[in-house]
Amino acid sequence: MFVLGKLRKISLSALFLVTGAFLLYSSLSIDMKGADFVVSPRVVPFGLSLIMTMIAVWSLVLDIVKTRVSQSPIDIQVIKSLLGFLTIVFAYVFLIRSVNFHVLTFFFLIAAFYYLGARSPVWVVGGAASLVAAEFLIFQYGFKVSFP
Amino acid sequence: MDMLANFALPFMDLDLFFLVGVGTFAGIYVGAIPGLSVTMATALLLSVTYSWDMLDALALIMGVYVGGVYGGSRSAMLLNIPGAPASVATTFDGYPMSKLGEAGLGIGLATTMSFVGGIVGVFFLVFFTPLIADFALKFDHRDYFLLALMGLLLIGTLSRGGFRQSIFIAFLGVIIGLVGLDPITASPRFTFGTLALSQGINIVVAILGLFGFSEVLLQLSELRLASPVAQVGRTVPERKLILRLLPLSLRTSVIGVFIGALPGVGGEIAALLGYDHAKRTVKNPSRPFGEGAYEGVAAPESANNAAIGGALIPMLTLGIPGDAVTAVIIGSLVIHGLNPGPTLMINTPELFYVVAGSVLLANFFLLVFGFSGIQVFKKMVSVPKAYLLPAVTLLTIIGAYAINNNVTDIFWAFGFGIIGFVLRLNGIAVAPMVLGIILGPLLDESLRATLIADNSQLDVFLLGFVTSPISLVLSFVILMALASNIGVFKLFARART
Repeated sequence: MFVLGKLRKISLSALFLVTGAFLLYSSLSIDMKGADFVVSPRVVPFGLSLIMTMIAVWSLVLDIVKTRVSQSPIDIQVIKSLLGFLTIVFAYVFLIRSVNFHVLTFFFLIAAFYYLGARSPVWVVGGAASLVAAEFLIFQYGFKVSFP
Repeated sequence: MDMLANFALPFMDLDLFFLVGVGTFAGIYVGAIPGLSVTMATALLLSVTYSWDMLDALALIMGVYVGGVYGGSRSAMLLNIPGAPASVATTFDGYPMSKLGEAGLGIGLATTMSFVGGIVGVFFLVFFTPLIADFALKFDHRDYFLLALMGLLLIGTLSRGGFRQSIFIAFLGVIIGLVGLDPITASPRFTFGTLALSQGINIVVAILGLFGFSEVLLQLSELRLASPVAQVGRTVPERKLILRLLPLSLRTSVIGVFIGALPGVGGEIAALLGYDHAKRTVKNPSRPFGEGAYEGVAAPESANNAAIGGALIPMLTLGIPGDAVTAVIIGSLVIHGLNPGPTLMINTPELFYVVAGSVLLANFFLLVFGFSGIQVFKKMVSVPKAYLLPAVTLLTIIGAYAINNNVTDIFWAFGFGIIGFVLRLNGIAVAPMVLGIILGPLLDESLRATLIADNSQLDVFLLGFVTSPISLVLSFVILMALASNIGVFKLFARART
């Protein structure tokens, strides 16, 4: 599958423009607490987001006018691989509060190892168990981190 | 004579010797694990050591401090995750070195140059303490503003995907650094009415996401899971290479000492300025900067370890913390019934020399443990990616959580990870964003404090840059850097030829 390289550049610049404009708008709502504008908590965020918006507009114009049409490949396999891994990771994080942390981490690691192509049961289970043990010893026992 | 005896005490006393060694060893591993900070470790040690003898407690803490600052370079080089903010600059060339199969040499260089930086730091601590403390106290808000501005000029150095995009990303970083309650007026900025954002976004969470999680996604997108980097290469740098890098290391160490001595400015800014200095002054690097240049590892590693000596100067002489760790150490002194401040040196002069001796000893331990531990660490790069990437993801998750015991921080790390991934996929470096997050609060506070002191008068504000000697020098340095960035020198050179 291919998308236009130009479109990708324009999309990124458009994203920058939206971000800059949003920050500019948000900076206007910062309470100045009665201070002069130049010493108020608004001055730096406002100034920077204004410059950011201007840079984004400039980039967008340049991308539309100057960038040549080119093709940039997108590998469906890459997208599938990324989405699959992200699904496993997000499922793990969403379940963190409701399932025992160590048990959940153990199964997360097994799932992730397996998903990324590890097939040796000894290494998969052993690796997951070792990492959980290390996490317990270093973070929970050593540094008193209380996991959910 | 007493001074010398106290300075040599950590080398002579078996207890102190052992404690410095244990502290350095533990510090290296704490520093190497993202999410575990030296500040966290020293704070934990306070609860363990409060009943100990003061010198024993300080020996252990100094070992952890020196080892921890150095340890951050390990994960920075091997995994592209800085173990601490002070190691951010090490990733720029350290990680490319690992990718080129020179992980061992990278760690060897970092170890040697951290040692050099540490020794320079102790040298300045012992011989120039009154001078540097006096100099550091002369820095006013305007000078801090100029220092932050000088740091921001690094954007030019760090930008890889176009200068425009890098400025945008760096400014976005500054705004992210300002999220939370304004320290001057307590006015909320970019919190959108949420309590969680009022405390701001932790820099370590951002680093974990931008460097760690984005790296995992990037490697997944390259679909090269079955081809781990098996080569590690030599570990001990050749004498010729060390000698070639030594002048640069000494220069950046001096920068590190002075930056470290400034209250509130830590090793992360020292390392960034050290890297920038290397990039500006080294005309023929071993490789282009950003592609595994040895100079790009030597400079920040010397600077951040030298900053330790610098940070101890205002702490020991004035009771002012140079960074977060020295703030905790001041707490330790108070717990032991001492009064940190100018009287500390008068009432307990032995303390100063024992601390300096401990830091020196810790640097020797760093050299021993640093080289002997390379075999353990270098195995990390030969682990198949099917195992390594989930492990790095877990480290990112636990590291982000461990900072505040807060699940929300994990989502922040993921958010930064996805931003980092999108930027890097489009050839835009994420380092300017980290630079912005680090320097943002300093830039904002010092600019506004200067303007408040100048009664918001622009002419007074501008005049201040030429009437104060320190401001004048810093302004001159900034102008020169700007000129070199925009190619004025190149134009002159071309005109002359």
